[in-house]
Parts: sequence; C-alpha cells; structure tokens
Amino acid sequence: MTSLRARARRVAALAVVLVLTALLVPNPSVRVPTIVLVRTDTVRGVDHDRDVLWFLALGSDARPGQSPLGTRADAIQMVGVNLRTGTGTVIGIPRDSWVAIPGHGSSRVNAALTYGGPDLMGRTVGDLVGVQPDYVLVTSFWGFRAMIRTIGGITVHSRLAFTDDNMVGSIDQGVNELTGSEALFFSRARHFLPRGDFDRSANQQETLRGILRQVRARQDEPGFMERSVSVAMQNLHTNLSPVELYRLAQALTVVDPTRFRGCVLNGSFGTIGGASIIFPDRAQARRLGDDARNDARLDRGCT
Amino acid sequence: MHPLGPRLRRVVLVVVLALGLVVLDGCTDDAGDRPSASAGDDASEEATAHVVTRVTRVVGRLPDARRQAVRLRTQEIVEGYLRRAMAQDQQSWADLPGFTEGAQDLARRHRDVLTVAGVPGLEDVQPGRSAAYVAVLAPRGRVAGATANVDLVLRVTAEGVTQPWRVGGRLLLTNTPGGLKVFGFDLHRSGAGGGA
Repeated sequence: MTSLRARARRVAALAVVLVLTALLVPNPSVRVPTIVLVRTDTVRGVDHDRDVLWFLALGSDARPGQSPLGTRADAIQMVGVNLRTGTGTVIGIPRDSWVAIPGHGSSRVNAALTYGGPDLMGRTVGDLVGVQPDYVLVTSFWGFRAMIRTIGGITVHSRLAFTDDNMVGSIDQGVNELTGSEALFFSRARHFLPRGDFDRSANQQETLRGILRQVRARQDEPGFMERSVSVAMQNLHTNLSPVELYRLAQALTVVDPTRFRGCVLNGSFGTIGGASIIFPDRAQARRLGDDARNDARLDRGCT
Repeated sequence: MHPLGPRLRRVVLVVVLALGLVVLDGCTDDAGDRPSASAGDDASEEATAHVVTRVTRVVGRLPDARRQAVRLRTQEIVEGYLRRAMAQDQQSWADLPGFTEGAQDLARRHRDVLTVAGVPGLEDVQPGRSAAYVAVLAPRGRVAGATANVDLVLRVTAEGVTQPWRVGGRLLLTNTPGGLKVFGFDLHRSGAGGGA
C-alpha cells in the first residue's frame, strides 16, 4: 500500500507540474495577446482624368420665377483643386469688375452670364485670369439654401461682425454656425462691410471652406454623399452628367480645407456712364492664374 | 487488483480534464473553425474571403433587380480586393478587378497599408467577419454612384502572435462603360502591421 500511495503522489505531482506548465508557458505557435496597441494608417485617393481641375462657381442673382442662367452672377469664384496633393485655390472676382466680354465689348463681368450663359461667363473669367475653367456650376439663392440645409449647415470664421440694411441677418466676429438662410446672408451682405464687394467675395470663399469642412466631417455617414449630390443635382445648373457630378463631388472632398487658400482680385473704384464699377487689377489676375494654373497652389500669395 | 486506487483515478481524471481544457483553450481563436489559408495561397483564399454585403440606402429609384445587381457587383469587387489583401506575392496585387485603372494605380502606391504584405514575419492569414454596406445614388432609376462602407477583417499571425488586421472606411464606386467600378477610396488600416 505504501508503494501505491507513493506512486500516486508521484503521479499527482507530475500532473500538477504538467498543468502549471501548460498554464504558464505560452503556446509557441499561436498566442493571442489580450492587449494590442492599435496603430492606424489612412489612405485616400480619387481617380480622375486630371490631377488639377478648375471650375467656376457662380451664384446667380435670379429671383423666384427667373432663370438662374439668364440673370447676372452675384458670386464669382474661380476654384482650382489639386486632387493629387489635396490643395486648393480660389480666386474671387468682384462682380462689378469691368472686363472685356468676348463678342460684347466691355461690361461688368457679371453681365456675361446674361449675355451668353455659363459658357460665355466661363470664357470671360478665364480670359481675365488666364485659366479656362473645366466646369461652370451655377446655383440660385434658393438652390444654395437647399444645399446648405442638406449638409446640415456650415460653420464659418468671420473676420468682422456685420449686419446689412437690405437684408435680415447678422454675423458675429469669429465662429458662426449658419443655417442655409444665414449662410446666404453671410455670402451676400456687403453694404456695411468696409471694403464692400471685396470683403463679400472673401466671405464667399469662407463659405466654400465651410462647405468643404462640413462635407468632410460628415462624408463617412452612410448615404450622406449620395443625398448631398442628389440635392446638388437638383440645384446646380451644369452640363455635367450625374455620374460626372458624383465623381467630381467625391473628388473635391480630397481637398484639405486648411490648404484651400483664397485671394480676392484687387481693383480700384470708378464710374462709367454714371454707374459705379471696379477696374480690376489685370496684372494681379494674370499673376494669380500663372501661379496656380498647374498645381492649384498660390506659392506667391495674393500679390 | 486494479493498478490504481479510486483516489488516484480521481487525480488522473482531474489532470486529464485540466489538460483537455488547456488544449481546447488553444483552439478558441476565431480562425480555428475556418479552413486555413496560407499566405499567398490564392486558391484557398478564394474559397474563404466572404464579405456580407447589403444595400442599405438608395437615393432616387432603383428597381429590385438593379439593387440586387449593385449588391452582387459590390460584393464581387470587395471580395476580390480582400483576396488580394491576404496574398503575399506581388503578382496577386498586379491587378484589382472592379477598380478603374487610376484607382488601381492609387491602390498600388498604398500596397503596404492595403494588404498584409507589409506585416513583418507573416506566417498565416485567416479571414474574419467582413461586411460592406452600400448607399446608392440612382437618379431616374440609373446608378450614378455608390459608397460602400466596409469593415474588412483578417486574423494575421506573425512572429508567433495572432492579431486582427482591419481595413475600414469607404470605397467609392461609379458607373463606367465596364460596369460599376471603384474610382476612389478612403480607408484606414488598424491592427497588425499598423503604423508602417
């Protein structure tokens, strides 16, 4: 009996050793860690036939019942984006700029939309800046409001606090969260801005930045881009097909809002035939166009 | 007389059970109940890379048959990508069916992030639970574009350690003459091999 007990003790001791070994020594082939330090890498890119795209964004002055393509353009922004580097440039043209309109002599730049629609407007601004736009996009006041509403409003940083004697609304200096109607006010008001149309054009550029920020912030939400492009299709006048517009919209989200630089074309006030106009700085327009034409980047700033 | 007494038999039984539990514990990894796929073994990968795919949103109108076609096409593309993500050999990444030429070029530039090829000491790759949820823009009943929100999971064993390898984010699709294709992506990789 004694030898049997001793044998049992030996077996038990061996079993304990085996169990402890199995529990304490990790499996050499597969070990699933309980704590993993997670690091991430992000890659993004959009295939487009060109790396650099230029488009002319126009806000029409049309009132309800009028065609946005048959009235003057209130907002005129030439936008360049580099899909490879994620940079962007926007050149604002004051609407009262006195320029040559192909086939129509000289007039305010915003009249080109009335004379010949988006094509003539594109050529007119293209001749001024020295960069012809690939696309022209026109929207109306109500279309603009609808698009801003669809993306959930925008946030803008205003350099100035201002109101306007012609429109209802007010903007605080600094950060403003704006609805569609408020964003329209921010983009249109100019009467109490120190530099009038020049400041308004800069505000329109900030509106574009606000749109870009908002779209990028929400683009991961399932269906957000599809809803937004659908509403854009209904409210933008363009010769782009739905497929092209969808691709363009997705491509634009590659642009980093912090690398989306804007300049407003300078000019001097004057009058022609009793009407107040702006004589644009044509040399500056060409310098900006030359600087940004191939990479949508303003290396030399706004001068 | 039995060589072992009842007490000893109990001790042996406990030991056997304990060892059995330890052995079973080693098999609780997700990959244990799936067919194994060695890295680079394309045939077995093709049999196992499955992505649950659903069309969850349609903006516009899309008849059921077209909706189903979008789902199947997206599933085919995403599973094709996942098979190539699992493979180690360069050849498997040479083409990405269902991606436009430009998107293939973009993807090749980011091969280290979009495949397991950059994981040092790679020993084994097993598919995990992967899903794609598709939102479609279909004005007037025709597909203009779609976004596939993907969550693609592999279980990667490298240098004796098994970790999840995960790619999540968006694949952007649009209609082309060759059918629905990926023309862009916004993807982030986490887990094994991250931070390369």
